[in-house]
Amino acid sequence: MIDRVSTEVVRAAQREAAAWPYRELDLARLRADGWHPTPIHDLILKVHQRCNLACDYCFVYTQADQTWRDRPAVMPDEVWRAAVASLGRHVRRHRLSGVRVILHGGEPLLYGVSRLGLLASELRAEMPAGCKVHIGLQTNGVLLNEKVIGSLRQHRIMVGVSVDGVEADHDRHRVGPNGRGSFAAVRDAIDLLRRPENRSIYGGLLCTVAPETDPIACYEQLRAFEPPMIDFLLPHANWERPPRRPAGTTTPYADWLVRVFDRWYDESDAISVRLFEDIITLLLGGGGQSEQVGLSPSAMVVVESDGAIEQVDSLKSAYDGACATGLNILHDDLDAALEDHGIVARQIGRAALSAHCLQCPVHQVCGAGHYVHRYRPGSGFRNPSVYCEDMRILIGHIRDRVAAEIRQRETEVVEAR
Amino acid sequence: MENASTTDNPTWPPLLDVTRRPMVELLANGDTALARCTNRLIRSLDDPDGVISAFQNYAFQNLAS
Ligand code: SF4
Repeated sequence: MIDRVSTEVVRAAQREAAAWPYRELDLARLRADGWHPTPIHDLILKVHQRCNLACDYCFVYTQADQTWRDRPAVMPDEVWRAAVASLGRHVRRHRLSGVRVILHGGEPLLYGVSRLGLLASELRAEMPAGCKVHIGLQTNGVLLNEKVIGSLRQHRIMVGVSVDGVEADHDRHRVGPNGRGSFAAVRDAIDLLRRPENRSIYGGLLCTVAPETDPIACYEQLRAFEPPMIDFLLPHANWERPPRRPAGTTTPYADWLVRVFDRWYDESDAISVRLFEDIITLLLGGGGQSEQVGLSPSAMVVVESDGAIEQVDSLKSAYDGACATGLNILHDDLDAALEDHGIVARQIGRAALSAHCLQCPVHQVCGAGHYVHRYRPGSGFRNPSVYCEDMRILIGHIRDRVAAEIRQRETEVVEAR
Repeated sequence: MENASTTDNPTWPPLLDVTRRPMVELLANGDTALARCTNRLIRSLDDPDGVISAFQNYAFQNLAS
């Protein structure tokens, strides 16, 4: 029997914990001004709450929010079936041309590939014709073997793998319960994904930035895995728990990323790096596609293993219960999530920024960074990013490089006339 | 709540003027990072849904926009 926490209790706790958006965002005024919510495009299903690794920075198990302890380890079939049915209604109601369903955890492969396959089949069958359905999962890679990959390929489930650079750096953080590093197992898994027959489901690699490591060695290691894309994630931190900064450094994250950027930008056959391409596209005048930069609306919700509809679980690094909406997919429609102040605050672009950010010349590109990194106890999420200085330096550097290239191309055109 | 439309502060202008078609087409040529991003910008101009920010903790490049 799955207990339901009252929505009102959750909202009262959120108002207490974070003035913005829970007390200060004026939803009625937004609507009166003509704002409309963006329907959900990314549904994240937490099919398994547990993990077979014990990474030291994991926001699920090591940080403020410990709600996973009270949830079923494995998502019951009734929960994902309710989520699939609800997503189908959402797609029809909003006439969506495409959705993504991301199987997450914990470690989603602990759920078992046959159950993942069943879920994928029923999901595709439920969506209306004409709606593109992308199904993917993010794994630590340890459980990927030929049989598992074959089954994922059969069900067209894309695979993203988390790997933190070279063996020594990866194994410092990403360890099993016995304390042993997981790099060897991950390398074997990626070698399987690189095979021509499996490349169609190889999504890419996620790497968390560690400023004490060698950025070029990290990038070269990731590149050697021949991924379709790489993304670099800043470790989750906020104004209460600032990021680790090695002694004598002020912007170590920017310094690290700038070195990778320069290596990457100078390569003619570079692999896609989401963070860098997002920043360049934003500098050119376009929109960002990920949570780390830009002002594009976020259109994602998580369904936990007990059916709770939540915001993305990186918010767990802020405070206990930070992701909660009080809604549950077994009782509530996905559209109800579009009324949640926490979800709305991530869909309104500049109107969610602090006065400090609005004065900043790079705010259209930075967008105050990842929502999670803006948290300060009491005031909530309307602050600059705790990585503010790193963001300014990284974005400024990329702008200088791109502007120089555009100027050079313009000169070439003029001279060729 | 602050109204974004009433704030009027200096921001960096876009590096690319998309109305300058020959220059945009030139930059979109090839397989450089700048070419890929210029192409992405051009595609997004025709996207009726607009650009949406996607879930960060999943490695996949959305090429649709
Ligand atoms: S660089 Fe700092 S002040 Fe500027 S938008 Fe980003 S977080 Fe805000």
